[in-house]
Amino acid sequence: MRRLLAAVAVLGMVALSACTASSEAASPAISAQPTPQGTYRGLELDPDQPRPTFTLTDMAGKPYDFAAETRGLPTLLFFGYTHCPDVCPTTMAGTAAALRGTPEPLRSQVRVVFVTTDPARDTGPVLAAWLRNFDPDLPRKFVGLTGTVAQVEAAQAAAKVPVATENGQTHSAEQLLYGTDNYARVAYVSGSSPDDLRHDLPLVAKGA
Amino acid sequence: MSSSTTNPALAPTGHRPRRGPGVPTGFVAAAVAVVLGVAGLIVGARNDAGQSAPGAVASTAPAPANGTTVGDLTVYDAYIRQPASPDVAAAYLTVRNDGKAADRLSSAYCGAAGRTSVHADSAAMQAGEEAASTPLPVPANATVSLTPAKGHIMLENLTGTLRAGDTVSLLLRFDKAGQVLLDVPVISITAPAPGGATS
Repeated sequence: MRRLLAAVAVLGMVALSACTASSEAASPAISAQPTPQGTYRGLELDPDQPRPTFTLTDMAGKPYDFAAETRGLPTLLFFGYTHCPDVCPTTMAGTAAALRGTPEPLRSQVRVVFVTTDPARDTGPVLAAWLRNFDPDLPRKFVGLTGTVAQVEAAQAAAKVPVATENGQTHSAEQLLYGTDNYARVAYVSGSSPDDLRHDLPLVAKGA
Repeated sequence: MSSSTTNPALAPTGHRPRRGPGVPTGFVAAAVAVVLGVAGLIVGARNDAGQSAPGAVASTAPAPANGTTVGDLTVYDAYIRQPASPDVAAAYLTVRNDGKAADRLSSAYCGAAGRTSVHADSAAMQAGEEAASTPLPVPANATVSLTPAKGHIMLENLTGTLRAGDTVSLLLRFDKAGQVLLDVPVISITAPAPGGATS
C-alpha cells in the first residue's frame, strides 16, 4: 500500500516563517512509516505527479524552463525562502549530504532546484549566495529560481503543492523527486534522513 | 502580539563579530557574569546554580557530561548550525527535567542576535500564528528537545557572521528553574548534530 500524500499536502503546509516547520502531525507519521512495503523510503505519492511546466528566472537573470532543463533527469524540486533558519536550510543541507553519498555518474545527473516563495527578498544573487553554502563541493550546482509573485505561485500550482502564503513564509514542506520518466512518485519532508533520499535516487534514475 | 522578546540589555552584549557591522555597547544582565570575547563570538560564563540541586533524582539516564544544570533541569547538546542566511539562525538543544514539577522554557536571549524567540509549538504555527513565539514545556521527569523542523530558538538580526567554531552565549529563562547561560557552539552546515540527531 502506498502512503498517501494527499493528507500531507495539507499537513505539510506549515508556517515556516517562525521556522518551526513540519507539523507535529505530519512528521512522526512519515518518519514512523517509511513505506514498509513500498519501493521507496521517502513518502510515496498517489497519484504520481507529472513533471511540471513553468519558466522562472535563474540566478544569472536568464529564463529557466524547468520542464525543458530537467526533462529525463532525476530532479529534486523544493519551494522555500532564504530568510528561514530551520526547514529550508535543513532540507538543502540534507539534499547535499545525500548527493555526497551518491556515486557518479548519477550524482551529476541529479538536478536540484530551489524555487523561492519570497521573490521580493530572494533575488538571483541572494539565492546564489545562499545555495553555495550547501553545494560547494558538489559537481552539479543547485539551481535557484525566482520571478514575480504570480510566477512563483503559478509554479507551485503546476507542481501541485500548496501555494505559499504570508509573503512566501508559509509554504509547502515537501521536496518532490522526479524520475527519468518525468513523474514524481516520492517526496520528502524536512526531518527525513538524507539516507532515505540517497536510497531512492538510484531507483528513480532507473524509472522505477 | 507575541511573546518574542528583544532584549536591549543583553542583545548587544559583547559578541564581537570578526567581521561585519560594529557592535553597539550594552549592558550585561546582573544575574550572569559575561566575559566578553574580543576577537570572536566568545563568551565564558556560568550561572551560579551550576550544580545539581540536592535531592534531585535522576530519571533514567546519567546526566550528560556536557550538560549545564539549573535547578532540576539539565540542558545539553545545544548547538547552532552555521546559517546559510546572513541574518537568521536557529539554536537547538535538549532539556532534561529530573524534578517532580513541570517547567517551561519561556524565553531566551542571545547576544549575537537582535531578536531571540522560542518556537516550540508547530501546531500553533499551523493555525496561522506564524510570528508567534511559543514556549517549550518541560514536563516532570522528562526529556524534551528542540530539533530541526520540530522547534528551535530563532536568532534574528544577527550582529555578525556566525562561523563554525564560534561560540555564542545563549541565556535561557525557565519559569521555575530560573535562568541559565549556555556557551553554544556553532557547527558547520554539514556537521552532524550533537547527540546523534540526524539533522
